Amino acid sequence: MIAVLVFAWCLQDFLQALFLGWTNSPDVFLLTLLTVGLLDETAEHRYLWIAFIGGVLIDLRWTGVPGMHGALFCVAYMTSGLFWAFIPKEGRVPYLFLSLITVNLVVVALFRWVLSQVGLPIGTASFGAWVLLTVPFILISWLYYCWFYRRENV
Amino acid sequence: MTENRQGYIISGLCAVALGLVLTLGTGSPFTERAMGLWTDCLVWLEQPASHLRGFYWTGRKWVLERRFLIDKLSKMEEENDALFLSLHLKDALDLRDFLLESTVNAMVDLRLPLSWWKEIRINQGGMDGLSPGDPVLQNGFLIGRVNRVDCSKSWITLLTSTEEMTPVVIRETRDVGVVVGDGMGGIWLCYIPLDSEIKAGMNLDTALISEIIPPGVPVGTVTDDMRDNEQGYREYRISSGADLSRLYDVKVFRRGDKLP
Repeated sequence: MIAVLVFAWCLQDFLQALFLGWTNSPDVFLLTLLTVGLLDETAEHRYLWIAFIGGVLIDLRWTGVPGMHGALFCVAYMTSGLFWAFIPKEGRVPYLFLSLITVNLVVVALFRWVLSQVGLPIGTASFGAWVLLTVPFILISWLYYCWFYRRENV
Repeated sequence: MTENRQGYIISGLCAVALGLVLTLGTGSPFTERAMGLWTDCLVWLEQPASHLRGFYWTGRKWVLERRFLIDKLSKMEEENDALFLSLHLKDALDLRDFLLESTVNAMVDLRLPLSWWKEIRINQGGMDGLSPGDPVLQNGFLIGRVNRVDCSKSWITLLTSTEEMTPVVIRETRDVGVVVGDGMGGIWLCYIPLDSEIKAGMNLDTALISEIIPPGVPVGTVTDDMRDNEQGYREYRISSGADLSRLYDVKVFRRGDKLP
């Protein structure tokens, strides 16, 4: 799973370089981290620090504020993990998972937009483009969870 | 989640705190050096994206420039046409006046039942400037040629006559053929090369083969009806633009007048 997360981080970096000056890249790394981390309940500590390291590396490359994304991703993953643990196994339906990852992505994106100096003037067009780019990844993640949910036969 | 949630929360809070502490290093030389090193490490990953972005912008620029140039070209063509028209308008008006003067209106005054599809007689003759060979038109389409001229009468041989053979060119393919009548009201396009792709709806004009008939006079259109002759050539029935069964008034183009 570490390899998947490394690939997701590289993909997010590639997309960020591709859409530079137009819109922000979808948070593929956070999405993958939530998908993988919430399904693997044996190593939540490890995923927490992976979230931190991944966020710091994003900061070092793009934001110039080291630790901002690290802290942000940690908060997102930790609150999601606690919420997910609070839900009984029978209640972890795919729609709940979809809602959880969507809320996480939107909150993180809005937070980033508000924090960045260029975020506010970018306006709705850029945010709309970000939503369009993010939706396919959310759907892939949700379909993966649906497959996992059926396989677990909850 | 494991039962021990406390350790997880503490780990999470530590990570968040560490992240917040790291933000204090924003703008420091160490941070900038680390950012530079990390950016250098990621060059191999971001280079394709930069190339892709470059291709996109180059393509977009090319498309916009092409659209601009096409618009510019069409505007210049319109201006050129307008200038050409204003320059040659007088010549065009003179030519139009000459052509109107060169044609004479005539009434059909005799059409014998036995030679219904062969010839007609009109009420204009040599005194009116007509001469043998002059093309005769109805509705702007060729219907035949002046055959005999008297003082005040002329006999017109129709395209439907078996004696009349008119060289034509197909407007769409530029193939040359001959239009022949069958004596029963039909007009057939003959002697078309075997490899020609003739389709229904194609238009025929008189060809610049000899000085018998001026070139470019519309004759009619090709129809679906076709037949093969003894030599193996395919012949096509032609629908004349004129109404050959009802000829009352016609126009004769007097070739005696020279073009300006």
